[in-house]
Amino acid sequence: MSYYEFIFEVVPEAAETLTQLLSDRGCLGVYEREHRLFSYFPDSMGIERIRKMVAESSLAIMTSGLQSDLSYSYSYLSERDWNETWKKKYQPIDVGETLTIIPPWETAPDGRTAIIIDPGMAFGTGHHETTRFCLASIERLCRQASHGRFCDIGTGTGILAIAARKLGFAEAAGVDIDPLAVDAARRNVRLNELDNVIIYEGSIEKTTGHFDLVAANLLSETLKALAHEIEARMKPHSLALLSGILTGQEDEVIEVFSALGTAVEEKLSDGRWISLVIRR
Amino acid sequence: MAKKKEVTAQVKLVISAGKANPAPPVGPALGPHGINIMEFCKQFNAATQKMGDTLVPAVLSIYNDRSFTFILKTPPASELIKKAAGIPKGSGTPNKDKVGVLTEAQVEEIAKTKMPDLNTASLEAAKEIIKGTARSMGVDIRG
Repeated sequence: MSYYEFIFEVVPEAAETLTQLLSDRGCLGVYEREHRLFSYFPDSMGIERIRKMVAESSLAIMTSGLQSDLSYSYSYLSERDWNETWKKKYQPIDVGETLTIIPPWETAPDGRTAIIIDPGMAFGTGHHETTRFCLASIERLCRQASHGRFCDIGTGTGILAIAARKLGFAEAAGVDIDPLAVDAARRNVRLNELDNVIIYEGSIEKTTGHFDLVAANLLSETLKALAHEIEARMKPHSLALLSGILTGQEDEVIEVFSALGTAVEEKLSDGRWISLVIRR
Repeated sequence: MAKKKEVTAQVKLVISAGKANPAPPVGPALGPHGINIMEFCKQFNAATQKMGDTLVPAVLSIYNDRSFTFILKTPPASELIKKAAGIPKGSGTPNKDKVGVLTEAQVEEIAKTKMPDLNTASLEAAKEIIKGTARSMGVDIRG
């Protein structure tokens, strides 16, 4: 998607009010730097409509008395990869006992299993605590669970599904509602030259049958909302890995999943994030 | 000796609760600093997922090792004004069409709530900012 960026010269007292006025008129969000307010509109709104919205906001600011005159400039921003600067410094990272996450242009150290991830615009590079926890847990649970079918809900880059397949699962599925994530995950499956890894665009309903291990590295509210579907995809006595839960939010997640007949086998924390292993 | 971690930049972002993604404004605001945008999005969405459909200001401190921390600020004054005045939204033409009324007492209460995040240490100055925001929404102030 492309955007229009409008930059306003704004006094500190008027910045918040202007932000709200613009947001009420289709602005996607703002950031502030040195008395300038950078705001963004989708180009699908059309520049004439956006300028009309901006004129309305300017009039409202003048009505407020917080700023007597509002000057701005604007430019067109074409679609691009905003994470590029970070990606340029993306380094291999060892996870668990045997895994190394590498970008496509690097090679894994000898004796370690390489997971090749081109992050694109999707979540899951192994640099976030919750992803690292999930990978280490899958590696460990591989020794306990049957190596049949694995499913990752909210797969992002596909990193967990790819790791599960490389760690010995016969089949891995990943689902994501974000088309950008689905593209990234499918590209990563190809980069890792794997068969029997299927990435679905959509919700959990896209998957069929039951799984020996289900992973869901989401957020607590999403985990609660999907609890019934997650539980329904688990084989009897199988395990699920629930991650992305902020400390303090774990009890409500446990309550919802316990009501469905699952039991918590492990609760792990790094102080900020909580992850749970549950058994059906 | 460990290298000292220093703040290299501070960025104030205002985005909808639970909806951060790498697109603008997050991408252009954070991309040049070289931090992992997806990681910020995950943390912001986790912290704001229960706040409903509201704008949430976040102030990020970015360090020289490209790590970051952030704090969430108070809800925008306009949200508090809408709630106090019992109106769903502000006026599109605030200079002509008035949509609600606030009392001085309500203005003072909102100003006190917002004081930590306003660029003033004076309650009177904070009240003037709140009144200005109310005027921009077509909300009148009455004693």
